[in-house]
Amino acid sequence: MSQQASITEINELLQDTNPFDKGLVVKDQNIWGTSFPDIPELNKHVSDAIYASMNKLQESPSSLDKVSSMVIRAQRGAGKTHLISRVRKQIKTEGNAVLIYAGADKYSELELIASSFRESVADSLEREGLQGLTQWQEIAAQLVITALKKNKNNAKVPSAQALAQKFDQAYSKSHKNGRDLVTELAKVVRHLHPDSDLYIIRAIIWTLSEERGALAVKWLAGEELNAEDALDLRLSANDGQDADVREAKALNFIAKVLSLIGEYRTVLICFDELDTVKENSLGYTVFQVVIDLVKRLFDSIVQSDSSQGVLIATFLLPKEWQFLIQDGPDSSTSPKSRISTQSERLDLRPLNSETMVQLVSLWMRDFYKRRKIVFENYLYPFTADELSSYGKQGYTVREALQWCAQQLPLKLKNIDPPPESLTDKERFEVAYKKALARDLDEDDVDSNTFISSVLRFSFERIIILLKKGKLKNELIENVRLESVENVVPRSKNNGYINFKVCGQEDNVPVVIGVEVLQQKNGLSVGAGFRRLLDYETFDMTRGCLVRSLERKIKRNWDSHEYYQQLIQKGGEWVHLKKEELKPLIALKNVYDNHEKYNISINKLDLFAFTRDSLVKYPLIKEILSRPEGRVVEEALEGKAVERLHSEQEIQSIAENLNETLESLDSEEDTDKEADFAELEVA
Amino acid sequence: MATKISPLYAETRILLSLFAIDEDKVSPSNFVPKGTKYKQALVDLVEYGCLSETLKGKRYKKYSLLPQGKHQLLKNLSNDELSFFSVLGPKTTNGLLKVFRELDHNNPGSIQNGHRHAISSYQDFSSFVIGFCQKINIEDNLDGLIPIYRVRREVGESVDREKFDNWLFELQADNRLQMMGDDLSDTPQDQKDDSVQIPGGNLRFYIKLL
Repeated sequence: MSQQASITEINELLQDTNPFDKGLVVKDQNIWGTSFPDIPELNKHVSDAIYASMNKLQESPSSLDKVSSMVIRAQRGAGKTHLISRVRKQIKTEGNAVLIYAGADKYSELELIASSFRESVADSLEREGLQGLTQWQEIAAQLVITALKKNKNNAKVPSAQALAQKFDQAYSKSHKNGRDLVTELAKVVRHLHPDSDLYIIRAIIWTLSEERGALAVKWLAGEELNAEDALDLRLSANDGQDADVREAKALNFIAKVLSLIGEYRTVLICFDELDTVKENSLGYTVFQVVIDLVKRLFDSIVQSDSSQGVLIATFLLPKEWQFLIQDGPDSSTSPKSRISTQSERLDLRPLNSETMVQLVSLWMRDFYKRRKIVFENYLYPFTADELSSYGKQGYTVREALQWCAQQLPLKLKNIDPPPESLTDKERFEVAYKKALARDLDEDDVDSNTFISSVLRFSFERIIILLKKGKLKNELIENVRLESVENVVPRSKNNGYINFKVCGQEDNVPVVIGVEVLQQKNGLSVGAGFRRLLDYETFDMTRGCLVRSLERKIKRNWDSHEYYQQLIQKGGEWVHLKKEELKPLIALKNVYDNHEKYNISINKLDLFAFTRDSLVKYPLIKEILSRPEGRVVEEALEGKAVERLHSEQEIQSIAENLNETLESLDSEEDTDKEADFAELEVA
Repeated sequence: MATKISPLYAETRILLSLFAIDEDKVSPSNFVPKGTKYKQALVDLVEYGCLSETLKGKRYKKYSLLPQGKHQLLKNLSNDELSFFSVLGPKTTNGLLKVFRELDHNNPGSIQNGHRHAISSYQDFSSFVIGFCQKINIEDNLDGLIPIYRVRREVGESVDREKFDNWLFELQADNRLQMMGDDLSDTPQDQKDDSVQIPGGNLRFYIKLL
């Protein structure tokens, strides 16, 4: 329901919520999400250059011109994410390419860079593509449809969506008849692409399965599968235990995957965030390690004459590029020649008068839209003149947003001063009620960082109150809180566990790792669980997962198993309820803006209301309370993966797995038609 | 010995002596050594716009050092071909001392050649900056990103700092060039000082021509 807002309401709203505070730091989710605002004019020259390069790859008749790389130079905050997000949307609409995003800031172990990149590939392709399918499924559907057509000239091929929907059914039907649909499909695909890897074909086809798709993606990411699961899918073991072996094979694996995908879709790979400060054991920086990876990747990708091509776009700081070109002569083996096969260098441009105005207008429009408020003046409280003259200086997107975030409160300051006549308590109540009335937007509920910051605030406040002696009952759920700590080693945690709450429970030290995990894709959820289960590395006595109940865990995910392990290890899943979170957010909001409301922190601490909301708060209590030790079935959905094969069958698959491959390699190209009726349109 | 007196040498001695005196309208007998080469150098310097010539009465001319003359002096002194070959008097050595002190005072760590361009309008500025960027981009293989400090130092004192900044912003607003920042954590302070600070924002280190 939309409502026309008055200027007074808008002033109040803007005073409480600065729209520009958000977006100063952009994250991965902004690339994959659809809501990130875009200024089409800004850096159009770069997105156009990317599209042009991709077209060129598609149209080129020779396999020699099917792999291309470009460098895009950009200073920090120049709008890289805007750009990548735009390209991603375009790719999604056109449906003839896939995007792989590799943000090097996520690569915690530089010794295993290729394995990390393999995870990025699997994770990126697990993101949504066309029509609600993942990018993996899109490719799989292409493979299957081509196989159906190849197998029978007049095959009635279904749509990609229909294929995904009927896949499991079709598979089990064939299975009951003693056949293996995936093997038969893979055989046909293999005849079409004789150089491709049969396991990779199988795994990609499996991503179509509702039931087993998550396992296949996990295998593609290079994670170790349970041996029976792997054999059920007739996939080889992943060398999961031995990181070095896995690392040595990772790049070759990726190259094979890219060769196969390249037959159907142009692959755009973006390398980003190379300026992350980290070093490997030999003292090489992230930048050096990633550049080396890009070079090796470029050298290992092979495309056919008919492929759609692979484009690698590497985002660099100017000085990083300078470093590369100064690094010895421009020989054909230098990293430089691999990282940029194109002679022209692209640079992101700063804002100008027009794009500055557009930025603010877009930002505010988005802000009102989320809140379902109708207010036509999208520039308010700024004016077009002011913004365009400011924009002339050529600010980056981030600088401009920072400036807006600073200026907005100054502009509103004189408009509506808080009433002086009220007492502290009354002012607090007004402020709190206002904050409470605000609707939470979806981005907030999606944001692990935001939610964990609210929880952390609450725990830290309680500890301060305890230290000040303000709490009558020092025990909450039998725990006496002592401190909130950061999670180390950071390189192992990778940002998953948000913080640790330490205290005493019946005179026994308790350390609770709190992890907000709102992700919806199986790979990330699994990765989050693995951290939370690792009590030893992170020095915890209990793991606490905070996640909305409606973000169910699929029974065919590895996380289903992990969830049970968490319960067994004395951990728990605390269900995050939007409504329960609101009072804490409101309280934090009043603390954060205490100057605006003219109430000191000390005063805020004194209110009984503050103490009660913190101490009696269900979410806080639940995190601290001793877990009930049971798996909540309502939090799960879907069917658990059932064994396809009996133990005996598994045994024989294990024995014959390699043999089957060999026989396939020597098999003559028979014209015998396979029966794929169960997949075709009836 | 007269053969050793190159125009460079002659001009430099004239400029140094006049610079040491630090007065306007100086009679040539006070700063021009004897000899035809020096006479010629004096005429040339006037022509280059390094010195201004004023008539005193009907026959006597007096000279003042112009900003361009000072630029020329600095440029000559940094020229490798210049060397002294005999003992010279206090005018020359004091001139050198003065140069040294001024440089040290104004511009620690950045004794540069250059400072020789007469730029009086935005037009001059834009054609100079664009030409210079094109030139050093190729010569020094800069791959399109020209450090602003190099441009500022080349332009030298003929354009004051504020004007330099403003004109660059104007060129940017006119879509002739864009300025870019970088990670400057390892960049020497004097290079940062000679870059452009955007109001309330960060440093811009490069020019990219559009």
